[in-house]
Amino acid sequence: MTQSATVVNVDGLRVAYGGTEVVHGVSFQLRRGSRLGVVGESGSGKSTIARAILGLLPSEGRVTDGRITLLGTDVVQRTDKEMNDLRGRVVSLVFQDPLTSLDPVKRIGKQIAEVIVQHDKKLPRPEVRKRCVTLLNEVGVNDAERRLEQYPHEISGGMRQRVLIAIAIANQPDVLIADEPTTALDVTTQAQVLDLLKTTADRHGMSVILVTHDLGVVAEFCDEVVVMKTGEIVETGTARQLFSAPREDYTRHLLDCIPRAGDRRPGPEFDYQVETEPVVRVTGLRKQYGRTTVLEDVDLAIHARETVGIVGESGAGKSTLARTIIRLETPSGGTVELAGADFGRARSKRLRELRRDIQMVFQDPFSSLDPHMQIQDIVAQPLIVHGLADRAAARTRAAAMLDGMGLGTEYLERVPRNLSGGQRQRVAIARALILGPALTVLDEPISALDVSVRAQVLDLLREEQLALGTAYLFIVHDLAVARYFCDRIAVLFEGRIVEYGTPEDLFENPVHPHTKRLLGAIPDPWRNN
Amino acid sequence: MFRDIRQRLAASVVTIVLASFVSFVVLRALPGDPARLIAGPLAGQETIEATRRGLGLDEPFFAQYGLFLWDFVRGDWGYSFSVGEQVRTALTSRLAATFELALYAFLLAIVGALVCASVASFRPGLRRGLVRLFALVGLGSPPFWVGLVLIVVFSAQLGWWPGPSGRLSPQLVPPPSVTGFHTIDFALQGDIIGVSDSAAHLVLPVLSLALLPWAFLTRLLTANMADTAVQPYILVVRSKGVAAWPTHVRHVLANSLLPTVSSCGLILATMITGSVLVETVFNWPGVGAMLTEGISSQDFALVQSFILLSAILYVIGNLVGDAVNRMIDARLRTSGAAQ
Repeated sequence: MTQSATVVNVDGLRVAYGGTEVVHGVSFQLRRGSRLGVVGESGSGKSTIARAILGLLPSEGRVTDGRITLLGTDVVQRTDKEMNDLRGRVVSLVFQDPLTSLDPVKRIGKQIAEVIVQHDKKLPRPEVRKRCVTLLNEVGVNDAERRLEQYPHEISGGMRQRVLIAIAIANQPDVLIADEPTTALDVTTQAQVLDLLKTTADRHGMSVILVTHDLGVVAEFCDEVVVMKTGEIVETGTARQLFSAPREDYTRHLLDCIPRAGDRRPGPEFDYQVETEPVVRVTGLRKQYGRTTVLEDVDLAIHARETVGIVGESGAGKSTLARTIIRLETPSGGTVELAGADFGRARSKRLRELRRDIQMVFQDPFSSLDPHMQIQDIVAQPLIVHGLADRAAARTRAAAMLDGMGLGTEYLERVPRNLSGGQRQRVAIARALILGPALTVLDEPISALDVSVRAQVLDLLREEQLALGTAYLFIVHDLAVARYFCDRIAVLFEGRIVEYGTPEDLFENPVHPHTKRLLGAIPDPWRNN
Repeated sequence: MFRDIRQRLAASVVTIVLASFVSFVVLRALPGDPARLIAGPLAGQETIEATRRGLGLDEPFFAQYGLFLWDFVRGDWGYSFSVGEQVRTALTSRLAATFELALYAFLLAIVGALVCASVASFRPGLRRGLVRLFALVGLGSPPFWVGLVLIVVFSAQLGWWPGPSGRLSPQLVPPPSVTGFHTIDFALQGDIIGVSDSAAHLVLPVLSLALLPWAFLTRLLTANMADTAVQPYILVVRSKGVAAWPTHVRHVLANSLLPTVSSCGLILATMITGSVLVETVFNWPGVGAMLTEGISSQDFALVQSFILLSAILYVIGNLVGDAVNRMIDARLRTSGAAQ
């Protein structure tokens, strides 16, 4: 095989952190001009491989065996100094989270210029600036001159990811490594960023390795796919073949975890014919920060056993709505009634009583649990705080609750860091539900979890809802999940609810143009393949 | 943002007034009678009463306090009977000596910490161990003891630098005061001998005063830099092809400075007000010795003025630290936007 056909050749690669091997002999090739997807859940070693190709493993990581050939030269044998010459020029990186991938104290222009100057030290400054502007224009950042003077926190997440892409393509490298480039973005921005990556790669003849956990993204973007699990390759093939006829059980399992049209969560549908009093009634809710209005005239009614989904792009006001309803923020106008009582204006003792009936599950189970408390105490705490049980009784009830969620006695005394992501989120759910609240606000409860765990957590939430009769307000950016899980979905756009209806109505006959745009942006593995 | 600044200034004034009030109360709560101390043990009751009236101690408590604040603002800091001078002249002449010592020590501590922390956080292993040892020794040893050891080793044994002999060798005449710093005033005169002599006198006291904050800042900064070094944006910078050390200095250090800068203002203030022991060890003619004397002889005017000055220094140090932080990090400049 000629060298020009294969740009990256990974052969029998083994990587160890300290004494623990995390990648066990992985081999694959990236052909010139092609787009390869490396898919896997957390702990599969996919990001480690990406970093190994760049020669930038964490300090304790080491390639113990195998070869990585980049354009015919071996990466593993090269010194860091030699690699500096390749990085940013021959191979570059678009990294996960655009919010943390740009240096917060340096101007955008300086950060783009850095990669240009690094590989062309003699280039005059006006020339560098001109190239920065051209790059920003190419990745679709408007008002490029002004952006150069701005800091990362002054621009949106989608724009930051564009800046990162501009940095990565600045020297027109042969290989672009994109590590979860869209995970932190909402669906419409994700679609735009993927499209941008695709067109720039085509235009400059770049080959791309896309590392992701999201099969939908792979289907949209890649020609070839490598499926990984715990440091080994499970299956390799073209995207078409993988989605139409997966050979391995694990691949099939991953595909099954993506909710498809027609999939529906277990349990009976909510019966809207029966007239019942809603447990929560939000009327004309408004929230302002200074002169900026974030929420405007929001009306919602949620009944017992009902799940209302809130979807929308980032910045639409989803999280503010959740935080205002549970009164982490004080509403600027309108009312929140909880079982007939005015929750939005209740004070001190009354407020504390009402809070018992309204609980929240946060997105990130890694930061929403006190790292020093045993999980039994974490779950027991709400009972003690509200004076519903003494410590011993509260712990007993917490143990029973956790047991019902598949966390038996051997887990009770562990601290959160000794649990997996899915287990932690179960603890967070148990903590919210142990009070038997009338309403539970779920703020992206599964988006920080692995694909195969998501389904379990959703099922658990559904079981508990059927058992306890809790109403859910489900903040979610993944529309497929919303369709699978919700009774009704509200589309939030610029702080207003622009459409409200059952998943069927919304997906079959979207009315508002924004809803149509959202739906069009969902990556669907089965659309093309 | 302007509202923010107004709030900060208002809070600063409140802090200063509270500090002065507490010191005012505590001094008066101490046992002993300054009038008796001034008038002497043999003075009769009438003399003492007269002295007390002269000091204004017969006025109601709050009137005394109000008078003290008002006079302080006008620049009349009272008369120090323990020194035998106006408090303002006594303090300002000696503060220059203290400032010279503290500022050089402060500079040494900061530059030293920047270098040590950058090296220590760059590569784990031997260097980190060495710096950690140094930081522990620096944090574990009281500055006056360090001073004594330095005198024994470098002055008495090796004779490299002068020992506890004040700011200048006895045969030299102090330069005309422009800045109050001997090193700078000599330099303005073009007097090389004077510059080197005053600098040599500074070496050991500056070292003993600097060691503690040096070690403290090194530890703080090393920890911050180790945290910053694993941030995603550092990996992105490396993926541009920037070598490890330039990345470390340009990006890791710049992002780790914030907490350090905040503590710098306070450290400078602590050094100025806390150099008493080191000054005593090195016979340094700063405010330290005068102050200890003032406290033991219940010299209200002197001690109160000094505490009030210290409070003002702390507040200024804090404000300057925050201002520098705002210069480094744009996120702090846009009010409310940063999360």
